[in-house]
Amino acid sequence: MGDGIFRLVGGTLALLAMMAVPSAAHHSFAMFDGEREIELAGTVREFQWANPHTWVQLDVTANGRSTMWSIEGRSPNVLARRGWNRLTLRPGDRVTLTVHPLKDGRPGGAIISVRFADGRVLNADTPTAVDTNEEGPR
Amino acid sequence: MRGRTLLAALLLVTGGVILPAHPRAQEAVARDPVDFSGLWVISNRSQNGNLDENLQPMQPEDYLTPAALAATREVRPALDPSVLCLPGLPRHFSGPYPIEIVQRPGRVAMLFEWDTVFRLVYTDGRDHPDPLDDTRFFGHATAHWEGQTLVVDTTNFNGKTWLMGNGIPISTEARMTERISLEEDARTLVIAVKFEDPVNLTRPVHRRHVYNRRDDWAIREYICAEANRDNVFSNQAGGMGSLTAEDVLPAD
Repeated sequence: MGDGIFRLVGGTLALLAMMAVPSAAHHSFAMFDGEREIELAGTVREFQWANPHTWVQLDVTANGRSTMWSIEGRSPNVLARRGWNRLTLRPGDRVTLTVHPLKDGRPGGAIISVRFADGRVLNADTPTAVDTNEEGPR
Repeated sequence: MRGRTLLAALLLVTGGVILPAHPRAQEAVARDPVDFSGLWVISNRSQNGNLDENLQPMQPEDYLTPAALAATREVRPALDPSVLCLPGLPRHFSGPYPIEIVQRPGRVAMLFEWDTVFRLVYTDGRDHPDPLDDTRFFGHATAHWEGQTLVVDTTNFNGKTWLMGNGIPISTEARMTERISLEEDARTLVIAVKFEDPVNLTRPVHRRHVYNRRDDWAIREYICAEANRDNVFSNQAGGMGSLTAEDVLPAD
């Protein structure tokens, strides 16, 4: 399993995972483990701002070996209303992604949030539920 | 002057029923008791799933025919029409994308950001078309008013969609009844759905979709086929598509 070293992080985030209810999207997110969250620190290789879903190709180095992770995100429209744009992630950027990993152990996942080098965090979860009395995504 | 003469001639030819802006239709919309026009975003007050008439969850055995039950047991999520970028109702009511409603004489237009598809709900008294030559992913919708509520009747489904991601099929015999209303603040829209399908359901499925008006949002474009990696071709090309060869081969 390529994500073995991330299990520790996943364990510490188990509580968080229980609080975070992954929202249903129309495309299948069944291949991701909604019960687990892991953190991936790496370098952005590519950010695909496209429908139906965005993708981040992230190079992650562990034990001296670099692995490219494929991280699926919500659609550009959903992310745009969460403050993202097509330049949010640029090739070469060092970022930490929190993701639900693939169940089958391949290096892939579904993005929950991104933390930038300056500590800023952007969420990527789906604003399916927006009440007018909440601040709501823009 | 000349335009007016032409219009009069056209009205004579058509009997005055075809031109969309006919005065009688204008009077009709003036009589619409509620105007739902606006941009609506799904709220977490919605009650989704397959619920009974009291909006309580049901066990699959309680509402699915044996055939539908079998279909859900051997469901292949990668064959979900939605994963293949195909739209469908009632699923498009509960997406994370806004719906803009434009109310016009004789019809209520629903513009769905999800998949950039539209739906016309006819309020001009017409009938459903012949289902032998006109079936649709969204079905064909006609409606009438009951007080402040628009009651929509949708038939002519094409049998190619699912009730939700777990693989319950929707047959061409399905019928959806919506009761659309505004809450008192006029900033909350409710679409109460009753879904019937004699082929797949032994009793109706109910859902209650609640939406908030968002005047500060605008519909964006959403073209699902742009870069869909959830298909067999991207999978073979090394993508993460969830479709495999087994998914596109016959089950047996």
